[in-house]
Parts: sequence; C-alpha cells; structure tokens
Amino acid sequence: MRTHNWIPRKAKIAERRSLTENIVGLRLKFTAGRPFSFHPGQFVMLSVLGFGEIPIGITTSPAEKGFFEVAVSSIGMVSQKICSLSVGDEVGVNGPFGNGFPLSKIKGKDVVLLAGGFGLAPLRSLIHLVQKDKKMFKSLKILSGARNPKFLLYRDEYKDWEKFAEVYLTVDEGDSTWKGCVGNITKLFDRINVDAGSVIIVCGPPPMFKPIINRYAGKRVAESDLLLLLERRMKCGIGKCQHCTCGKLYVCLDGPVFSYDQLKYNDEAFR
Amino acid sequence: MLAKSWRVIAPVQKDRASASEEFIFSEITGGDISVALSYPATILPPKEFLLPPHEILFEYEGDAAKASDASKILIFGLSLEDLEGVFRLDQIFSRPVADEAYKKRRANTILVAIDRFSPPKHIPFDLYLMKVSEKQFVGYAGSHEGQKILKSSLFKNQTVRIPTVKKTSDPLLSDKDLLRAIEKSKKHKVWDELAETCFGCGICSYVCPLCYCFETHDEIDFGESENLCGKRCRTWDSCMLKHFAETTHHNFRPELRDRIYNWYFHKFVRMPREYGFPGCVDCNRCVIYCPAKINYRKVLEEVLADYKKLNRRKK
Repeated sequence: MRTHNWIPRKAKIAERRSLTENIVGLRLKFTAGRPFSFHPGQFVMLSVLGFGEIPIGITTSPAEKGFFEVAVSSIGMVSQKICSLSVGDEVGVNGPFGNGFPLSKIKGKDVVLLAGGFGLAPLRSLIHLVQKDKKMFKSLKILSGARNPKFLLYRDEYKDWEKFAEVYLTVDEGDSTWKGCVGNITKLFDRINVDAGSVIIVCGPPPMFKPIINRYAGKRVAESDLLLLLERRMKCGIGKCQHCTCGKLYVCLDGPVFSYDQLKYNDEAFR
Repeated sequence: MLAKSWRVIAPVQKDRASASEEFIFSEITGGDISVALSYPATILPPKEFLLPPHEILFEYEGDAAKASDASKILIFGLSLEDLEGVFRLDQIFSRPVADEAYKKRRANTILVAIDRFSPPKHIPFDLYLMKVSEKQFVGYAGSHEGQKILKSSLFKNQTVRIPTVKKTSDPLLSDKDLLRAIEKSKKHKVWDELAETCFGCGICSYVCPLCYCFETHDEIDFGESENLCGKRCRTWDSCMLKHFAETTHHNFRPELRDRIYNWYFHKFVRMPREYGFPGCVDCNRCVIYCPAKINYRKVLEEVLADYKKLNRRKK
C-alpha cells in the first residue's frame, strides 16, 4: 500500500535558467536519501516552506541520472517564489505523481508531439528519453507553437533535437528575427504527414484540443492513440483533495496523460 | 474514568443556558458537563476530530520537519450513522494511497458508539452500546481497548433479554439505478433549478460526515528561533465554492449549476465507483443546515424517477 506523509524531500537548485521572460527552468538534486525514480510525463508537488505547494511537470527523462528538471511559470504566489530562488536554494519535493506516458503502448510507433506554449515542458521529458534511445519510436515529429518567438521554450535545444526528430515551429506573432511559420499551430498540420497508426500527444491550452480531435481522432489516428495532457488545480496528488476531478477521473491519479477515448464523453475534460 | 487515558469527546447540548436543542461533539474536561445518551445528529459529524477543519500536516524549524502529533482521543456516543461515516472515511483515506496524517489520528482514536440497533457486523468499533431500555445498555467490545472498558467498573454483569433490532437499508440510497440516473442527469433541469435557490455557501459539505475535500496552505511562526519556523496545514474546503476548481489562468467549474451537479456526482457516482459505497449515510445534516432548505432526497427522487420513466419508455 502506497502512503503519503506530506513531508517533502529536500532538493537543491543545481542550475537555473530563464526559459522565457516569466518561465524558469530549474535543475534539482536531492540533498539526501534514495534515488528519485519516475516515468516521463509524471509530475511532482513542488514547495517552498512558508509559501505552499504546487503541481509541476517533470521536464527531463529518467535516463538522466542524479537530477531532474522542472519548468515553472511565474504566475501564482508559490510559483513566483520558486522562480525568484537562486542556485543553491532549497525546495521541497513530493511525488512523483500521476501516470506518465504509456511507453510500452507507444514504443516503435510514429509519434507526433503537439505543444502549445508552456505545454512543451512536460513533453520534453519524452524528447529527452528518445535522445538517449533513438530507436524508441519509429519516427518523432515535434510541433511547437507559441505566442511569439520569445515564448518558445528550450530554443537552444532544437538543434540537438533535429538530429533525431523533425521539429516544426510556429508563432502567433513574428518579430524581426523570426523567419519561420506565423500562425496557429493548426497551420503546421498542413506541413506534416501523419501516417496511419501514428500516436499524437498533445499538451497545451484546452482550446488547442478541438481542432486536433476533429482532424485526427478516429481517422488517421485511433482514438486510443490520441493522448491529451490535462492540467487542473491540485492540493494533494493522491486523489483525495477533489480539486482535480473531471467527472469520474482524477487528473492526479488517472492522468495527467489521457487517451481521447477516455475523455470523449467526459463533459468536464474539455473546459 | 475514561478521561484518565484519553481526551474524551462526547455529545453535549450546544448551549445549556438557552436550552438549545442543538448538540455538538465536545471535549469533556470537568464533571459538570452532562453527556447526552440520546440526541439528534450533532451539528458537525465526528469527522471534525479525524480530519479537523484546520490541521497541521507537519511542522518545520529550519532544516528539520516533523509530522505533528495526534493525541489519543476517545469519541463517545456515536450513532450508528456516524460510525458508518467514520468507517467509510477510513477507507477513503487508505485507498489507493493512504494518507498518513489521517491514519495517525485514526490509529489514536477509540470509538464508542451508542444506538438502539443491534451492533453492525461490517463496521469496526471499539465499543458498541446497544440501548435496550431507557436505562439499560448492552456493551459489545470490538477491540482490545473496548474489552478493557467493558471489563471496568462502568459495567455490570447482568442477564438481560437482547432483542435483535436491524437497521434496514435506505431504499433510495440503495436503489440500483441511482448511480446511472445521476451519471446520466448532467442536462437535467433540476440542476438549473437548484442553482436558482442554492447560495453556494458550502455548509452541506462542512456538516457532511463524508465530504472531505481540502485545501493546504503554509503558515509561518514568528517566534524566538533564528530559523524559519512554520507549518503546512490542511483546511476544509467545499466543491460548492466558486474558486474550488480555479487555477491561476482558468476556472474549470465557474457555474454554480455545475458545482452542484459535481457535489451529487461525487457522492452518488464517483465515490460508489471508487470505494463501493455512496458518500451519504442519510444523517440529514445537510438538510437541517441548508439556508436554502434544499433536500437532497427530493433531488435524488426526482432524478431517479425521471430516469426510470425514460427507461420504461425506451423498453
């Protein structure tokens, strides 16, 4: 029986970098205790004593040993505090929580990742896993969109990713430096070929889901192979506090990764 | 006598001076307080001692964090309904992940129930006092601790005729169609009508033995210590409140109608699916304390009747 005692493990900030003007990437190392094991796609409850605890997705893969990374968007009281911390400061970590990506199900397939803005962060855990094991998928396409070029996450890594994946980018509004695609992420759909039997994994703001569902679900991609990541308010990570429920599902226990056939008739999923 | 080993909690009249008819579970510290042996449902159920309205999950000073202590308590005089409520709460907080804070409190709690019914077979208790007449109770021990109390001078060995008084299960709450009826009722007009009268105040959650949603927050202690001292706390919440499902950029359940539906969905669909029982022991507290006089039984009956009608037509 798994138990949760609420006391977080202590981790030190080993590296800190600004990913965008309000999103900070942190590399965390536990100060003591057992090694941290997790699945890509899982999340942790990150906290600062005196401020509180928030759910944050893990952005590195379990193949990277001795540390893990997170991306924190500075918008609430706790996240603002976390973003203001420096290298050497401590945070509290509970978890990992959630199901993570169904790796055995998607192994060996053509995989398309669709990221809207901040949604690239948890998908990066999967990208980093493929970076270590390039034969994991038959092929990998990464489609990422953001408000403007400054909001594209992990821009310094795209060159590495292009060694094992096709990377497509778009921004809603370009600037003088931007020579790529301008427009909604749906604009990128026309540039790619989604082979029958592919797996599509989507993480981004909920309005992004509909056009993708309409275009692919039950057509080129089986409903069970269209995976959607949901985000909700969470206070525990163990299916008790009730804040993250979507009908009969808990985002913290059953998710955050859901297949479209799980959510199809769920009124609360696509709000 | 019991107070020597435990903090004793028992039902007492809320305000004796005004001859209040309301009862509360309260700590019995002196001899002057009269414990009620027969009383209507207390305002708050005994969950307030197992999942307190404000609870310290852990305390920290500088680098060291420690789980808070749970004192040994004895809750005296639970009705069979409240005993059932605690039994269900025990299961909720132990599956699929056990909550240590709850478990610790529960492990330090002795339950002494009093009711006119025969002792339940499926619900654990430490001591069960079956009321067989105005002044006679028959004691049943359900644990080692209960056995100890039973053997004390509080009880006399006597031969009495013990009737079998079974509590019949509620036909509404045990209706096999109830789960499907609520699950399929998202578009039912009853939720719109309720949203017109409901204040969305959350009192139904606070007084319910089986509402357990919560918030957590941190508190800082400004004391003598040079280290940062404080605690992470858990407080009651209610899914009826507007900000319950709100994140920093989106409210996933902004409409009262949907929050009301979710309250019923949790109790009569999600909880039965997760744990095999509904989130209601029919204690009636939510009916008594609802400022809008909403009666959940009428709501369930309406939804269930419409569901059955529709099903008959389909056949």
